[in-house]
Amino acid sequence: MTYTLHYPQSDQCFVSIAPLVATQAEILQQHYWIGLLEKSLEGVLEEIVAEPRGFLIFFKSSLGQKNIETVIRDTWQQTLIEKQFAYKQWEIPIHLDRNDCDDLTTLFKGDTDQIKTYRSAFLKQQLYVQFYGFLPGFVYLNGLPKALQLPRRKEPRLRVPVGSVAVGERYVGIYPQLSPGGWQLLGQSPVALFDRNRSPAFFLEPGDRIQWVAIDTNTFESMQNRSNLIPHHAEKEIVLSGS
Amino acid sequence: MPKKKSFCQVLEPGFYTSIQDSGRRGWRGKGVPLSGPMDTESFARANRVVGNDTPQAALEITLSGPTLLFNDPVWVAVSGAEVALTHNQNVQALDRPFLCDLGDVLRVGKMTHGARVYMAFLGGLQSPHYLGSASQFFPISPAARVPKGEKLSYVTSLLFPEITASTGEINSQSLGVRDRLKVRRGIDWDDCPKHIQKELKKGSFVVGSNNRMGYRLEGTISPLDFQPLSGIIPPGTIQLSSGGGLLVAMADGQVTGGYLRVLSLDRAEMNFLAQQTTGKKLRLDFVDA
Repeated sequence: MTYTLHYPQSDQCFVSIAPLVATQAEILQQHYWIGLLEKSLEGVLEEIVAEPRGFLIFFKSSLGQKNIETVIRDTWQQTLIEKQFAYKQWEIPIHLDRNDCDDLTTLFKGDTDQIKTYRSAFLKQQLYVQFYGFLPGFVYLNGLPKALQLPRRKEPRLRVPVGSVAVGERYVGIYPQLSPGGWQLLGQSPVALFDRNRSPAFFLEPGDRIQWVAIDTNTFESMQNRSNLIPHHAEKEIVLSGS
Repeated sequence: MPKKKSFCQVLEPGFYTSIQDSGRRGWRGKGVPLSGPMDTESFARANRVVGNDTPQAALEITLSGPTLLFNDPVWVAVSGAEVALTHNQNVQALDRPFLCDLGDVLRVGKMTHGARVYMAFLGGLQSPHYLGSASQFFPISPAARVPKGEKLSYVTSLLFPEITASTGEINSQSLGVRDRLKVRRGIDWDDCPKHIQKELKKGSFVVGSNNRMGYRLEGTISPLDFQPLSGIIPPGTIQLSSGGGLLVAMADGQVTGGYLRVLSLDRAEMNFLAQQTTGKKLRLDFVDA
C-alpha cells in the first residue's frame, strides 16, 4: 500500500491510497492512522473524512505543506507497527418481506426459488461499514460477494422508504431518511441509523460489522415504535497476520 | 442590566430564507453536510457591521426577502446583494447598523444585483443548535428554512457596542462583476482524459439550476467512458456530470458523490458563484494552469 498527497484547496490535503481501501482490516488500519493524525494535528485540524480511495484532511486554516508531509509520514510508519484492531459487531434487524421495499421480485421475474436463495445467502453476509455519505447517517457497507452484487435500477425511485436495505453494485446501504434512490431494495430495518434526539445520534463506525437478524411483520412493527433504540453489539478484535 | 430575550415575527418568509451560522463542523464523517452561509464574505460583513466580534447565527435570504415585525429593540444590519430594504416606510442603507424597535416592520425586497443577502442581529439569533450548529439543514434540524409565522429569537439591545466596525468603503469581492471563474485542479484532475481537460480550459458555461446544495454549470463537455467510485465532495468541488456539464458542490452539498472531481473553487470563488443567478455566462481561469 502506498500513498500520495494532493492539495485541492489551500486548507485541505487529500491522502490518496493505492490500492483501494476495501477489506475490513484495511478500513480499521485507515481509521487507526486517521486517529493518530487527529492527535498529532490537534488545534490546527478541523476534520478528517475517509473514503475508499483515501481520506481528506480539512485544516482550520492554510498550513505549510512540508510540515503536513512529515506528520503524515510519521503517523503512517506508526500505523504499520499496529497489528490489532478493535471493532463492534452489530445485530441489525431486517424485514425482508415488505411490499414497498422489494425489488427482488422484479429482478428475478417472480421466481420464488431464486428470491429465496438470494435472501438466505444475503442474511448470512457479515458486511462491514466502509464510510458514510450521500445522506446524514447513510453507510456504505462493503464485503458483499460478487455473486450477490446487483446492478443499479435503470430509473431511480423518487421515494425510498426510511430504513430500506438496498444493494448498489458492490455496496449495501440502509436509507436513514425518505429520499430518492437508485439501488435495489431488499427489505427494511426498523432501526434508525440517525436520530437527532438520541445520544449518540449515529452509532455505526467505519470497520464495524453487521450481523443481519431476520424479523417478521409483528416484530418489525413493534420495533418501529422504538426506532431510536440502539441495537445489540459485541466487542471484537481483528489481528493482522504477517509483516 | 439583565439580558432580555425577545423575537421578531416572520410575516412573509420571502423566496428562501434560512438561519445560518458558521456551519456544522466535525460531522462530515457521518455524512452530514457542512452547511453555513453560501457567501461567507457577506455573512461575515453583516455580522461585523452589527457589532458582533465573531460571526453569529443570521438570516440568509435568497432572491427576495422576508417581512419581519419586531417585538423589542435590537440592532440589525444587512449585507450582500443589491436589494431594496425598507424599515417601516423608510429606505434603509445596506452595510449600516440600525435599531429595530417594538412594532417596527422591516421588509427585504427583490434583489437587483446578486442573489443573497445576510441579516445579522447584535448578539446573533438565539436559535436551537443541532449537532453543534444553528444552521438549518433538514433532517439535522427539524426544518430546512424559516416558515411564515415563525418567531425568530434574539437578545434585546438598545445601546450599540463600543467596538464599532469600520463602516468606511466596502470592497465586496463576492459582488464584483466579471465573467471568469477561477478554478484549481481537483482531486481527480489526473484521471480526467486529456481531451476533456482541454475542453474544460476552452469551454464556456451557463449557470443552470442552483440551490444551497449546488450550482449546475451547463456546457458541452464530452462524456466520460468510465464510472468513478463514490468519493468525498467538499464544498467548492466541481464534478463532471454525465450530461456534459459541471456540478459545483455548495454549502449543503452531499458529503460524497459519484462523479469525477475535476476542479475545485477557493472560498472567494464560491462566494462569487453564490451571488450568480440562472443564465449567467462564465468561462474558467485555471489558477494553477
